[in-house]
Amino acid sequence: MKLVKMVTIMMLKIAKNRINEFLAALKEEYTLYAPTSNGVTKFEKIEDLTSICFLPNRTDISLKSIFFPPKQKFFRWKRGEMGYELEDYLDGEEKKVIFGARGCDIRSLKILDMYMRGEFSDPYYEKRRKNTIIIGISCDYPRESCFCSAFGGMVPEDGYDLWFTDIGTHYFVDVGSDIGKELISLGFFQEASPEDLRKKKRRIEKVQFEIERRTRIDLCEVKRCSQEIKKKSQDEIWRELGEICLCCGKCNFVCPTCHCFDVRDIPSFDGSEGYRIRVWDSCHLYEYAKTSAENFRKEKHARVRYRVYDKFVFPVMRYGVYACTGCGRCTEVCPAGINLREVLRRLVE
Amino acid sequence: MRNPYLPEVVPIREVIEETCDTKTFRIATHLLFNPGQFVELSVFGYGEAPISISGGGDGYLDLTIRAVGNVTNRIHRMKAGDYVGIRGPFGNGWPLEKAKGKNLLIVAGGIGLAPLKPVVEYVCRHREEFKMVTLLYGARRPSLMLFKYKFREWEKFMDLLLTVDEPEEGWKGHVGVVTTLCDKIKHRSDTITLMCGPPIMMKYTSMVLIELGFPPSEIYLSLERNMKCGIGICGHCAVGGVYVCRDGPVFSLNKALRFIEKPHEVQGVLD
Repeated sequence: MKLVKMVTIMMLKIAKNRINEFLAALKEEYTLYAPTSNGVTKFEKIEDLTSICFLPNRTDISLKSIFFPPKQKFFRWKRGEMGYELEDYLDGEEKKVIFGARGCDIRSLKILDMYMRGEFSDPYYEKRRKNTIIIGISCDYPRESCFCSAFGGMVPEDGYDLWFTDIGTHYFVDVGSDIGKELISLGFFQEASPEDLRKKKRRIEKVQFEIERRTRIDLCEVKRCSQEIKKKSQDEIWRELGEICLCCGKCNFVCPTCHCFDVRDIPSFDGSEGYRIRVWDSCHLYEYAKTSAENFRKEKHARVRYRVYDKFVFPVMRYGVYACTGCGRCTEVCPAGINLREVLRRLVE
Repeated sequence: MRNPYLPEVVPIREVIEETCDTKTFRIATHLLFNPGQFVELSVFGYGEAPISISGGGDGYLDLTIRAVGNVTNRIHRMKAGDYVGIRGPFGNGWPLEKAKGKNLLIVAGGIGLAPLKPVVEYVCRHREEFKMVTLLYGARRPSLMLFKYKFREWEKFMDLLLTVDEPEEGWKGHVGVVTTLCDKIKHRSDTITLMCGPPIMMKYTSMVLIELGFPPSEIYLSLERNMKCGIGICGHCAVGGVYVCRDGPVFSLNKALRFIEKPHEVQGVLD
């Protein structure tokens, strides 16, 4: 409802044929990230504006790798006089603009922030995350796997600086922050009419309705659903899923909120120097919970259950929110055909 | 902002051979710690491993390490003067304050004595702060017992109950798993229990202690997980909505029962 309030303050739109001018102006000052396609759609640093892909809905690969790359150097170590010299690799400080983020992308950043910028802050994430301007955009229609309506809907309440909605020849523009107001002053925007506002609302309602029709699960009562799932730790569904899950970890990698990592050393040939890196890890892999004494999640069903719990039970206990955005990427990539929406429906029924 | 992933590069001051597969590395550092906390040990070129602190003093820290993995096997080949990295300390540590003025039961199995050694040493230095103190220690074989050279001193301050699974020549003590010694503990009520050992030992010992009337809220366990970051981000130590590295590694049995799958299994699956 915050959206409506914003609109009464400022009703703006931008002509579609001026978008490139606007982005070019931003690119002068910021590093621009936007969706591109190379068979797989993902967010990439934009050098040439023509490479931007105007997609109807979310990208295949989530935003998280901009802030939390699949492989990231922590520091370089080099043997020296006094043992080892360390050279920190904190990087990615550039001022960024992300254009074309979806509601699920924006919500996923809020969830990642909760894990990575909490009591203990992750400096590598923090450095990439700050100074980021986000320009979001409403989806034209949902993907088959989408169910964001279960987690707050297509338009997030906050977390964006500008929000665009396609209304034909123009994008309707909502301003979500003071930085958003500054961007408006760049001069590419014009006042929107009440008719534009109606068009925007209709557009959003239509897509939202379409997502809800597909989803048909009411996860709005956050606490209740979480408790339902918590009660099902011994349900036979886990054995069933354990039978079919390949434990390949694809769902972890495409998930915009999965943030597990492993820490490794990459030494040079003679071992006199090398890098300490982190790489994405997956709770579905056999080795994940192995210690010197025991593997705590040896069985596949335990690992499948763990991931569902770590999205829908544990974060609710700890932070009071679901760690799922309903983007449906895990369902889309699963080679065993596990549909998270169906799993949830069975669990809360 | 201090970068929590950057280790402090420190030299090994001394290497003490404990058993055929375990050594204590005395690391030169001024890091302060609470008994029960751990550090992330770096062996450059091999990576990091979480290691509990088994002692410390003026300008040094002891890490008692069994050679089981990449990092630990490599450090076993290192000697005094070689450099390693440490970061930490991490975790909450043992609730020693709660034990003051009460009876104290320390239960250790195998390498599990390492994180409890700072507690034992604290008791030796501040014996008057506790009522009866018992150390119950079990190992697979007599030759695998850690810190044997300290036993005579420790005995002056506490009841020392030792047991081995398999006796060897010259062993005159008790034979059997740790649980078979539980009825020799002279105190039941008003006791804080601190326990660390293999999951199976902690599970059965907790069951026996509960049967003997020790309340689960006063039994504390140190859980082992393969922590990669130490600050609750990497996910490896997550169990039932808690991070062992940050919220633990010491939990009361009461609390541990809440986040594990089967109440009778102390270190469980669901997680």
